[in-house]
Amino acid sequence: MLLQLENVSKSFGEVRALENVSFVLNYHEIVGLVGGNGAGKSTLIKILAGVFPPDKGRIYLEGQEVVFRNPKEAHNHGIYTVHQKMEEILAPHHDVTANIFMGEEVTRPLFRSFIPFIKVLAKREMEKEAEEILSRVGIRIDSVRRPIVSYSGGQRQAVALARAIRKKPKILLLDEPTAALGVKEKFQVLRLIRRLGKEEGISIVIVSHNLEEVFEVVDRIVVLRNGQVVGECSPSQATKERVVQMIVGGE
Amino acid sequence: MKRREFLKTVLDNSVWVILSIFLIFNAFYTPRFFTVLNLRNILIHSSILGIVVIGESLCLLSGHFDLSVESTLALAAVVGSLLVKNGMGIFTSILAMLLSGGMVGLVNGMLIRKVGLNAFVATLITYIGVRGTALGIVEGKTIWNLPPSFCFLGAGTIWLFPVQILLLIGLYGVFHLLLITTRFGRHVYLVGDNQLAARISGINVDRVVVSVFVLSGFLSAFAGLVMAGRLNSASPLFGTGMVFEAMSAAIIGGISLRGGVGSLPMALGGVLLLSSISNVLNLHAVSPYWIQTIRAIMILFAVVLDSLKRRLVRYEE
Amino acid sequence: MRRVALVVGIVVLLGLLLVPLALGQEKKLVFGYSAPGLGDEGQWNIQKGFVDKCKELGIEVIVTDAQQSPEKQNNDIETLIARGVDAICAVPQDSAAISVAVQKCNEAGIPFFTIDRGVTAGTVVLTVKADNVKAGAIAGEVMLRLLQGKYNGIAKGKVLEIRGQPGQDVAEQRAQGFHQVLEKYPDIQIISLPGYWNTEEGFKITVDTLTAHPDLDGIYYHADLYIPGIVEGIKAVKGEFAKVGDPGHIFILGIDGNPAGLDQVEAKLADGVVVQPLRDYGALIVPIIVDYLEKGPEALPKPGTVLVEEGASWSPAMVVETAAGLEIWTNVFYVDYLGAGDPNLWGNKPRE
Repeated sequence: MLLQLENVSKSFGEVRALENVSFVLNYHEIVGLVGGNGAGKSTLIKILAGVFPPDKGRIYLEGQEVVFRNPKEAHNHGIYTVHQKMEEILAPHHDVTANIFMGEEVTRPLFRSFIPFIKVLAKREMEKEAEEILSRVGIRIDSVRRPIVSYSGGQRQAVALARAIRKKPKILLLDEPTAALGVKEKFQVLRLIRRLGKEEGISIVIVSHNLEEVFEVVDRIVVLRNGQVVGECSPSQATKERVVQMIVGGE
Repeated sequence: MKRREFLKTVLDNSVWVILSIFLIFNAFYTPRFFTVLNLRNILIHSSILGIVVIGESLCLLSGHFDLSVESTLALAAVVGSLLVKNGMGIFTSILAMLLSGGMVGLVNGMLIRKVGLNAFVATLITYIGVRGTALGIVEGKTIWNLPPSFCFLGAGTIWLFPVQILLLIGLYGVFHLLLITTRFGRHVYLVGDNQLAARISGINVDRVVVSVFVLSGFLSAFAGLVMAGRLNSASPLFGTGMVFEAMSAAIIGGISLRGGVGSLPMALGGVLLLSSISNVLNLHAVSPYWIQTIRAIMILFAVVLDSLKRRLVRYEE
Repeated sequence: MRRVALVVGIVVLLGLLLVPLALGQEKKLVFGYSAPGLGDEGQWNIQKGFVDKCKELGIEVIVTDAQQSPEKQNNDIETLIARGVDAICAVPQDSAAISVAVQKCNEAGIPFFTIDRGVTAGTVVLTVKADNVKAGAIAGEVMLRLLQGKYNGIAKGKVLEIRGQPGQDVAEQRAQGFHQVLEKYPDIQIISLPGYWNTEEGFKITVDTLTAHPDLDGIYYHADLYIPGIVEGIKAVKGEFAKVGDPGHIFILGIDGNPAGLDQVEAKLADGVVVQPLRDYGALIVPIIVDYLEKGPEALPKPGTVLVEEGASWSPAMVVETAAGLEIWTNVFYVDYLGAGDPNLWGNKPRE
């Protein structure tokens, strides 16, 4: 068990967003969180990302209890989020490398022998590493030196994923990763997610309201309704109709 | 495809292309334009504006306006000259004037990041207030006849080269390297390109923005030192209207007002172009009433080229 | 009942207290003075002259400073109107923009006076200004003499004119007078460029023109603030500066007479300067305002007369009826290095 949530509750004023939710994420597993609007998907993922703490309940990471007071602490434990809006996470006029290394640029001393404290960006190294990451996970981009604005939505999302991968996360949280994409690009990104889970060994939680894509990619589906976990199933054993029934409620 | 690449290279360096065409044209049509003396004059005319433009560009690249540059220049000139006239040492006086510029920058940065004012509003306040302070300190008087050593940076020469030209080149070199080779420089660009993304990626936006404004203040104060030396005097009215010229130069050089796009050498190209234009108008002694119109047309031209360039690289859905 | 009596008593008492205050206020005149920007040396001196004369006559003055903003000047004047001053005197930052405020002042029945510049619309009782055309003409005549001296009596040579703001009346008049004198001599070439009242711009113009015309004979400037730029500009191109009387000297003269200008003339950096009696405008206008408030339009000087006062730098002054209204054009006079040290010149008077 990589991650375990135990009886987590969270309310915003009168609104009970999550109520006694328990949730497990195994090593190398891709889990889809589904549910209607206001079911608590986003709240759950934000608690995992450290955006806000739960009111009640515990989180265990690899058996150890952890508390995330802010996103940075979640990062330090290897949990990263890729948001649905690329506009929020990419610098459009910067090249792919700059975006992949944003905020964590690699530097080297300018003069190694004397005044070693003057440090400059190690551009060559960063470019090499960026290319490596991209080719390893099979993202095809013709040049890491071209700015983000010159790429399509799917390619931009891929760059955002590549950035998360570089940080060698244990857990990747994807919030509606394909919401803004066209059909063809959607499948490219889904394939990429699948590969990240299986080949890179990253555990992934996907939040989505598109059952189509959830069935395509995940190992297990967790259904939320009114802030509670109402069902779990494997896509190979359940039908979409069954899941829809769980989402809307009633037997 | 090859034509497109060529076109892009041309557009990427549009200022230099326009400047070259302008220089070549005038070499033939303006008497005494293409002489060593006159080209030196253009560089001298560019130096003070050029130094201010470095500071302004830093702010613009990080996505902020700085209207206070010209007032800071006047304040620093007045502070330094007053101190040096009252028997203070040269270095103490210069240090004090640079510090006064840094202080203005710090206030700008704090107003923007800590108080949460819009950069335009915050620097409008200092634009007015700092000029007022400069006026108040000397009660509107012009200080003149400064010690030669104090004027060295503005009027001295090293071998055959005017110091102010060497300063211009040196400062552009240093700050260009700062911007493109260091983490700080990269962060300035990133904050300007997408502040939210920069913050989410763990970049300390407050620190970047405050540093940028402090640097801008230092540079404006330094320009004030050069101007005081250049004119062997200091007036609280120094640099009036210069902020618009600085912005014009930056925009002509392709620095986006929205931040994150552009480079210092291109801004320098903008400065040189503006200076060359006014130099040519002076040499010809043409009717003075048209100079502003010509400047506006130049800016329009540069901005159109810039948007053309952006359309070339943008992904077409 | 007793309560009512108490209240009435207090009100009456307060009223009695206020009466002498109100009477006292009525006796003392209050003038409003709206300066365009006290950062300017000349403007500061005009203001100082006005305030000093008022103090001498026991008049209270409220001084506002528009800091070069036409809009702020309008607000300043509205504030003065609201304060209920007896008369307002202004140096317009912008002759057109100020008209709005002048009209409000007319509506409020407060007499409006200006110094140095007129207004486009609205009624101004009187404007006191230097004769700028005459100042330009004097400069032109001196320049002519200097050129003739250099070329053995022949009127020829090249002169640079560094103007003020193109389109502004003071700059246009100073240019007009200068050109009127010199355009009769076809061998004198005048190169005119606008310096926008900016020292650095003056520097650039000097440098560029000297590069295009190394044989330049003289420079005529519209304001003293250009002098440091001119001197440094000549140094930058020629490598050294030849003082008045030295071989290779370029004639430098112009208009204003502020402290820096006079010092430069005394130090033989510039040949001379046409001085305006800025500091004494107030001494001329304040008594006229007082008379006007007492006796009405009768008290104003009649057009066509010449005002003379022994020892006053503004004297003689012409009273002129212009399209803009009644104006007094004060004397201007030329000062060279022999006279530049005169302590009576406004530029030589101590600031405090």
